[in-house]
Amino acid sequence: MKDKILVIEDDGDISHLICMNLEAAGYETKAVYDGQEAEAHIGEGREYDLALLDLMLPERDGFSLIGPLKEHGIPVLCLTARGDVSSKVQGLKMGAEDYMVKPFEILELLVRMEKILERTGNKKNLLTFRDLLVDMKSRKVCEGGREIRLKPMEFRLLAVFMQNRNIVLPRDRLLDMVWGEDFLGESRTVDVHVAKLRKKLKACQAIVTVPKGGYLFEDDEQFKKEQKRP
Amino acid sequence: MRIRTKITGLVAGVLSLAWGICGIFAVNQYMNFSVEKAAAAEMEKLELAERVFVQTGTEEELDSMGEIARDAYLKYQFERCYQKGYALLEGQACIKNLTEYDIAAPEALGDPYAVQKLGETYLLLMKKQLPYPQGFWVMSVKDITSTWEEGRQQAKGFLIMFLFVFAVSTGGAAAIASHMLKALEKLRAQAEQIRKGDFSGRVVLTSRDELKELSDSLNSMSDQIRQQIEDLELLLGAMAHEMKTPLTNILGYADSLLHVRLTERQKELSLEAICRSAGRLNQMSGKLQQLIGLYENQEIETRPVDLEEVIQCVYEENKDKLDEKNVDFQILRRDGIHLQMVTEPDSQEKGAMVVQGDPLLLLSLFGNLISNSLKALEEGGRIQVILDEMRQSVCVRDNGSGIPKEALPHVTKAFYMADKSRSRRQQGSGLGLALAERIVQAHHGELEIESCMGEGTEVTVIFGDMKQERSKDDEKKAGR
Repeated sequence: MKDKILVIEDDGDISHLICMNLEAAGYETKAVYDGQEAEAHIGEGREYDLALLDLMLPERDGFSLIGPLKEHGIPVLCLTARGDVSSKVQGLKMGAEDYMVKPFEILELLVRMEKILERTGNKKNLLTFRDLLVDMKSRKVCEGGREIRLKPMEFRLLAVFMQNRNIVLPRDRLLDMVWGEDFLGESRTVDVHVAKLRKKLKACQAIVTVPKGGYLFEDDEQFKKEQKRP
Repeated sequence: MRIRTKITGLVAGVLSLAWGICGIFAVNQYMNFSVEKAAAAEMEKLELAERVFVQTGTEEELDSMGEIARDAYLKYQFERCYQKGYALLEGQACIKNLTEYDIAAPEALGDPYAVQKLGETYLLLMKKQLPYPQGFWVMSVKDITSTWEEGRQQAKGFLIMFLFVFAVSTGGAAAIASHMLKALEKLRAQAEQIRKGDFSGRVVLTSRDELKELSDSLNSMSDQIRQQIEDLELLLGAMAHEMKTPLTNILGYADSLLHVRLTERQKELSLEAICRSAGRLNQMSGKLQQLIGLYENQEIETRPVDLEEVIQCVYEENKDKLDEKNVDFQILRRDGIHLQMVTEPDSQEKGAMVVQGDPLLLLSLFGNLISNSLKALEEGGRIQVILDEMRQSVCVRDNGSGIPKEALPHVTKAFYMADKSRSRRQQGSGLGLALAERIVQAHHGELEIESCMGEGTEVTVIFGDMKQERSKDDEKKAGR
């Protein structure tokens, strides 16, 4: 099961950019291009786990959508070109979970989204990849129906990889995301844990080392989709 | 030197010079007049006494006397007829002196009188020849010190009055000068404020003089500057905001290409998006440059431009886009109330619609207007360009989506977009009409925009003043 994200953004290119990256990372997305369309979508009762909302929209101001989205239990992450403090404050006061100013980094967007999903409990508990199942709640990992025991840090690292597929994750970012920002370890720690994961799980052969970059969890799903499409 | 000192000094100088000359002249006149009067009175007395003196003996009687007897007789009679203050002269010698003074060198006495200063007293000296016997003169010596004193009193009074007037007017001048300078000081303070970038200061002067005019100009100048700065700030703010979208795209897609595993198709799309956004930035910067260039150069170089040619040129440039949307593009000429289609411009008589202008700017103007119309049009729409020679106007009319009524007043503001998402889809920069308006202003023309939602938009450029200038030129040519 994938988390479903509603992308409310009027600029076609930016909308496509977000959707493309979120899908690559393993999310399901739905793009809407103006306020009225967005409201209609919320009203139809479709389940979304998170909404990315541009505050400057045609037809309806983005701020006015925060309320309806919250009523339907959809947490909101505001995306906007307006970097002034007052609109940040207004957005957060009206109930937005977080706020990002354009232009933004993809990885940062993914991390913030993840935090919101964790916080609001909207995160799907079961992560899947081929025959690998990861239950985030019970912290159990099964591959091919067999339970595999992982150490806490290995589990968290695996979770980060599975939640940020197809995106290059630099070692220092992985340290921050898994061990926490206060951890004073070396980037070697990451290498050691990745090696352990690869050893324990067949699926973790999908973790590719990117020279000078970090690690990449390759999920070919979208590539298969594309092959199917034509 | 301070202006106050200068003004006060000037007033004092002019006053003392004017009053000095007038005073010396007046006192002098007065003195002369008094002495003249005294002399006339004295002459009358002399004549009167002479008449009496002459009766004492005829010429014959005197002639018959011996010289000594005659002198004695004359002395005696002189003493009888003349009173104090007279002397009888025979030749150059004084033979009888009734004055209180010694008489020396009476020959030096000129005609008709002289004033001599003796110690503290002033004497009026006169002499008159007796009709007979030959060689006898009567001299009169009169003390006119009082007249002199009077004159001096007069001068003193004049001096006091002068000093009083001098003090009052110099003081007054100084006061007025410092009052005016206070206003100047206020103006200076305001100018200083403006220099520091504070445009809120206002100088309110109650007087109605040049300083008031200056302060009014200064106030309106500061308003103007503030307005321009606000306009520029708005422009910059809008620009910064408008730049964010293409920048977000470029950064985002480039980031994705670098750090995200994408399919070949996605990579292609990303590159296309980067290219598109960079193009938009480029377009925006080009238009901004043009706009700022127009702000800087208020006056443009003009020469006669055939508008029909310009429109044809714009048509050629946009031909592909027009054909792509299957747009019916017409150039019409208004002939009275009829519209006449211009089919083959080259076969028509040239110079039918010529205005004074910059051909490149006019090209940009109509290019913007036609590209706006094109954006508003659906597939298979129509654009009409109507040239009206009578009104010296060009009208670009389309049957596209139109502009909402509430948006009409704002459409010429930079970065204003009535329909943002549509405008972005169509690669609009939000600067087209702002630029068009500046170009029309630079040509001293007017831009009129009429629109009806769903029915279309009509933008009219009127080159009103150009026509006047042209007719002036024509007159000049005719005059030659």
